[in-house]
Amino acid sequence: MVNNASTLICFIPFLPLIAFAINIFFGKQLGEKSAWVTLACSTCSFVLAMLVIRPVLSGAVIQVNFDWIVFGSGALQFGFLADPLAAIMLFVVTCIGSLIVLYSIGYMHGDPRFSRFFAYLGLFLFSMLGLVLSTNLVQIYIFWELVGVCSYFLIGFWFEKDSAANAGKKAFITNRIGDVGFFIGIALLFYGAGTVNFTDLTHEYFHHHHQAILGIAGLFLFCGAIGKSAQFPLHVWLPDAMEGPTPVSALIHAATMVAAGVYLVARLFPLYEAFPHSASVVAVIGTTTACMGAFIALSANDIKKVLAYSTISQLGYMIAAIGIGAMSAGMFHLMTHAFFKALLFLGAGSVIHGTGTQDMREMGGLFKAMPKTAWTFLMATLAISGIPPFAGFWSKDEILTHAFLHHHPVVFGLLLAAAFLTAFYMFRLVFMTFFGKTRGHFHAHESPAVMTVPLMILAFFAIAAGFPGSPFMHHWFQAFVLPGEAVKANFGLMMLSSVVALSAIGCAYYCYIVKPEMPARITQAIKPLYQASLNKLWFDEIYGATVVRLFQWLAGTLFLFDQKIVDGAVNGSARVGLWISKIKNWIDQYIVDGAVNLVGAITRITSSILRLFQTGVIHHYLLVMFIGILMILYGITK
Amino acid sequence: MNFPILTWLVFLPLLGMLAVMLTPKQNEKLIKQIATVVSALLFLLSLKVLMAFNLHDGGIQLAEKVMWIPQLNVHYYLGIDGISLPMVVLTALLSLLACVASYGIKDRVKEYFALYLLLETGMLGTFLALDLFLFYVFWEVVLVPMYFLIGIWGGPRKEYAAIKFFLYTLAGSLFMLLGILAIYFTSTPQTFDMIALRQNNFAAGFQHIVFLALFLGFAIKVPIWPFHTWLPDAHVEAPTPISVILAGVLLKMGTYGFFRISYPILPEGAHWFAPWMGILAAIGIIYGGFVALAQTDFKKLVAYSSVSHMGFVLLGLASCSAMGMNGALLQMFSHGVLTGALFLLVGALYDRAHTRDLSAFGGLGAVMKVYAGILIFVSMGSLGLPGLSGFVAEFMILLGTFKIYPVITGLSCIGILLAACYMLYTVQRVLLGKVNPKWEKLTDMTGREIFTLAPLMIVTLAIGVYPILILKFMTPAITALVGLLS
Repeated sequence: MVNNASTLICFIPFLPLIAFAINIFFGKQLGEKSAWVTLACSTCSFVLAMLVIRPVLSGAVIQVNFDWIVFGSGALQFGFLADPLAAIMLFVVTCIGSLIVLYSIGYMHGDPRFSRFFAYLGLFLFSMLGLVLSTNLVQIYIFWELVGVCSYFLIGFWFEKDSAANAGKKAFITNRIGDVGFFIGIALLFYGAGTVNFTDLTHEYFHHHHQAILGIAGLFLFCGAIGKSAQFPLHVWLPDAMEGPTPVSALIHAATMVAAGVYLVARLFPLYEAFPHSASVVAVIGTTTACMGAFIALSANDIKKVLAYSTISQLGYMIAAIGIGAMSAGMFHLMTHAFFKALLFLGAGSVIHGTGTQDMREMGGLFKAMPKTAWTFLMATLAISGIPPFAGFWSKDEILTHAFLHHHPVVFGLLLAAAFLTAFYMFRLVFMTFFGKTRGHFHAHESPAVMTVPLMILAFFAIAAGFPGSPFMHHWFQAFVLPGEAVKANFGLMMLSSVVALSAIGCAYYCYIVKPEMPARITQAIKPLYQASLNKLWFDEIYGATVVRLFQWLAGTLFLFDQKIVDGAVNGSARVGLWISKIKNWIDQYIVDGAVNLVGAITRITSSILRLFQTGVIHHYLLVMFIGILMILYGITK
Repeated sequence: MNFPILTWLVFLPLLGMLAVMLTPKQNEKLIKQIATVVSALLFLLSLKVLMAFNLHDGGIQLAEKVMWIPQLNVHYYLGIDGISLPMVVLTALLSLLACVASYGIKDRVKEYFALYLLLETGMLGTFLALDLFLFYVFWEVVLVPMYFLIGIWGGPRKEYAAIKFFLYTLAGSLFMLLGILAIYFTSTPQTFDMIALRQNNFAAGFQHIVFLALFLGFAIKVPIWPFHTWLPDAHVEAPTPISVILAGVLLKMGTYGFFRISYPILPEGAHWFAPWMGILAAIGIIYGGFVALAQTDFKKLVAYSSVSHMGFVLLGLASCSAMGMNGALLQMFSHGVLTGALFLLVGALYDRAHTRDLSAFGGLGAVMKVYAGILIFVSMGSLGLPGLSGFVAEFMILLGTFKIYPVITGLSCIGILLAACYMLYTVQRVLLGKVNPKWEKLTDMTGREIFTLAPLMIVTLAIGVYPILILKFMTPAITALVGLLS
C-alpha cells in the first residue's frame, strides 16, 4: 500500500503541469475545451491524493527523494513527502482546486484568453502541490516562488488594465522582500543545523541543538511567511491582488497560496517551540494582523476588498495560533477557512457575474434574484463568524481556548475582539448585498449550474469541515496533526465566543437593516477612526513616500553618479591623456623641434649676415681691405 | 592523438574566414551560408567534445601540446576541463545563434562575417589555451574584430563606443601582460605552462602584487564595478548579434581568467584578495540593480543588469568554496544564455519599432503574443525564478558564500529583489497596459527569430529543472580547484 502510494505521489503535482503544457501550446486549437483538460487533470490529482492520504491516515509517512544539486561532496535533494500536515494541504488544494476549475468554466466563459487562464491554473496547481509535498526548505522555497509567479500572472491576467498590471508587480515584489528574509533563514539553518530536511528538523533535534543562531533563523524564515500570508507589515499586496479574476482570488488569494505561509510556520513548529522568543514574534505579528485586517474590513465597500482584508485577518489568526503553540488548531483553522473563504469568494464572484459591479453600495436585495448564491454565501458567513455548528466555530474556538488556557490573555482578548469585528463586517456585507432594496441599476440573475454546484459542495464543507476537530469526533483532527496533544473542550469559552459572534451579528442587523442611517452617524462620531479604516491605515501612502521613494531616489542618483563620476573618471582620464598629448605635441613642436629649427635658424641668420659681405663688388672688398689695413696700422702705431 | 579536435575547434572559424574572404562580395548568400555552416560545425564539434569528456576526471583532457617558440619555452598547448567545457559549449552555441541572427546585416556583409569568424577563433582559443603566452595572444585577437564590429556596424555613437571598449580593455591587458611576464620570470624553470605553474609556490608578497595586476586585466573585461562603464556604451552601440556575443561570451573571459589563471597559480593571492572581491561583488550587484532600475533604454537596462549578474559570479569566486564557485561557473553559463536571449529580444523589438525607449511601448502583450511569452520567460529567468537556470546559479552562489561572508551575502540578496523590480518594471512597460495605437501593426516573431531563441530557452529550462545535467561536468574540476586553493 505504502509502496504503491510512493509511486502515485509523484503523479499528483505533474498532472496539472501536463494540463499547463497542453493548454499553453494547443490553447488556440482547444478553445474552451482547454478548461476540461485542466479539470480532468486536477480531478485525477484529487483522486490520487485521496489514495495517498489513506495510508497517511493510518499513520504511514510516504517519502521519495532524489539528488537535485551536487556540489563538492554534498547534495541537495528533491522529493515528495506526505505526512499528516502535507495530507491536509493535499486534500484542501486538490479538492478546492478542482471545484474552482469547474466554477471558472462558467466564470471565464467568453474571455479572449480563456485557454491561457486554464493553463495558468494548471501551472499554479502544479506549483502549489509541489510546495505542500516538499521534503525540505529549499524545495519549498522553489515552489514558493513558483506559486508567486503564477499569482503574478493571474493577478495581471487582464493586463490591459493598468491597475491589474500594477497589482501583479506589487504582489511579486512585496513577496520577494519577504523571500529575501526567507532565503537568509534557509542559509542560517543550513549552516546552523546542517540540514534543511523537514524529517530531520524534529522536536528532538531542537531539543539537543539549541544554538541561538537557529532561533534567529526562525525569525528570518518567518519573513517568508509574512510576505506570502500577507501578514503585517507586508500585507499590502493582497487587497490589490483582487484585480485578478475572482476564481483566482478564491483559489490563490484566499484558500491555498496565502495559506502557504501558515503551512511553512506549521512545518517549522518544532523550531518555534524550541525558541519561545521567536515564537512570540510570530504570535505578535499574527495577532496584530488579525486585528488590523478586521479593522480595515469594517469600512471597505468593494465586496472583494472586504473579503481580502478578512483573509488577512483570518491568516493572522492562524499565525497567532501557531505562535502561541496551538499548531494543530492553526492548521485546523487553515482547513476550515480554506473552504468557507473559497466559498465566500466564489459567491462574491457569482454576485459580480450576476450584477456586473463590485461595489456593495450599488447592491442590495439580491436574495431573491440569486437564491443559491445567497444561501450558500450565508452558510459561509455563519462559518467565518463562528456560529456553531459551522466549521469556523470549531477551529476559531480551538485557537481561543488554547490562548486562554495557556495564559496568553492579551492574545486571547485581541483575538476575541477580532472575532467580534469579523462577525460584524461579514454580516454588514451580507446585509448590504443580499438584503434590503437594490440600489444599483442592473438585472441580477442567478449564475449557471457550473458555478452554483461548486458553491453547494463548498457549502457542505463550510458546515461539515469543522466536525473532525470538534468534541463530537474527540478532536480527531488535532490528534492526527500532532499525536499526543491533549485537547480539552471548554464549554464556557464556547458559549462566550458564540455570544460575542451573535452580538456582533445583532449590531450589524441593527445598523444595516433596522436603522440604515446609523452607520453614517457612527462614522461622523468617530471620524478619525473611520478615516483610518477607510484609508487602510495609510500603509500604501507611507510605503510610497518612504521605501518606494528611497528606491527611486537611489536608482536615479546612482545612475547620475555612474554617468558623471564613474564614467566621468574614465572619460576624464581619456581627456587628460588627450590633453597631455596636446602639451607634448606643443613641446615637441616648439621646444624639441624648435631647438632643431633654432640651430637651422641661427645658421641661416648668421649666414645671411655673413652673406651681406659677399656682394661680389670689387669696390666693397677694396673698401673693407682699406679699413682693415687702417685698423691694423692704428693698432701697431698705438 | 589521432584527431586534434581542440585545434579544429579553434581554427575551423579561421578557415571559414579565409573562405569568406575568397568569396566575391556580391554573393552575400554564399557568405552567410559559409559562416553558418562553419558555426554549425563548430557547435557539433563542441558537442563531440562534450561526448568525449570524462566526467570523473577533474583534470585537463584532450590535451594537445607542441613546442612553439623554444627560445622562450612557449608551447602551443590546448586542453579542456570541467571549467572550460561549459564555456566552449556556450561559445559555440551562441556563435551559431548570433550568426543566424546576423542575417539582418545589410552593409559590407563580407567584411562582417569575416571578422565575425575571426572573433570565434579568438574566443575559443582563449577558453582552450593552457599556455599563458598563447592565452594572451588569443585574448588580444578577440579585441580586434570586436573593435571593428562595433565601430563599423554599430549605432550612432559607434566610434566612441568602439574606441572606449578597445582602449579600456587594452589598458587592462597591459597589466595582465605584466602579471604574466612576472610569473614567467619568477617561475622555475621559466615557463608559460599554466598547469606546470601550479606547482610553483610563489612567495606571498609576489602573489599579492601579481594577483592585483591580473585582477585589473580581468576586472575590466568582466566588468567589475567600478570598471564597468565601457559596457553600457558598447552594448547600446553594438549590433544585436554582437551584443549577444559580447554579453554572452566576452564578459565570461574575464571571470574565466580567475578560474584558469589567478586562482590556481596564485592561491595565496586569491585568499588575500577574496574579501575585497566579495565587497566589490556586493557593490556591483546592488549598484547595477539600482542603475538598471533607472534606465529607459531597453538595451542599457540589460547591460546594467549584466553588471549586477556578473557581480554574482565574482561573489561566488570570492567564497573560495566548492558550492560558491560551482554556482559562479554555472552563473557564467546561465547569464550567457539568458542575457544572450534578452539581447536578441531587444533586437527583435528594435528591428520593428526602431526605438528602444521603454516608455514608448506598452500593451504589446496583446499584439505580439509569441514575443510576449518569450520575453516573460526570459525575464523570469533573469530575475531568478526557480525552475530556470539563473535561480540555481544564484542560489548556489549565495548559499556557498553565506557561510564565509554572511553580511556581504545578506546585502547581495537585495540584488535578487532589485532584479525582480527592474525586470517586472520592464515587462510592464513593454507588454502590459493599453496598446499604443502606433504599435498595433507590429508583426510577431519570425521563424528565424524563434529559431535563435528556442535553444536558449530549452537550455535554461533544462538546467533549472535538473541542474545535475551541467553540474556533473563542472563539479570534479571545481573540486580540484578548491583543493589547490586550500
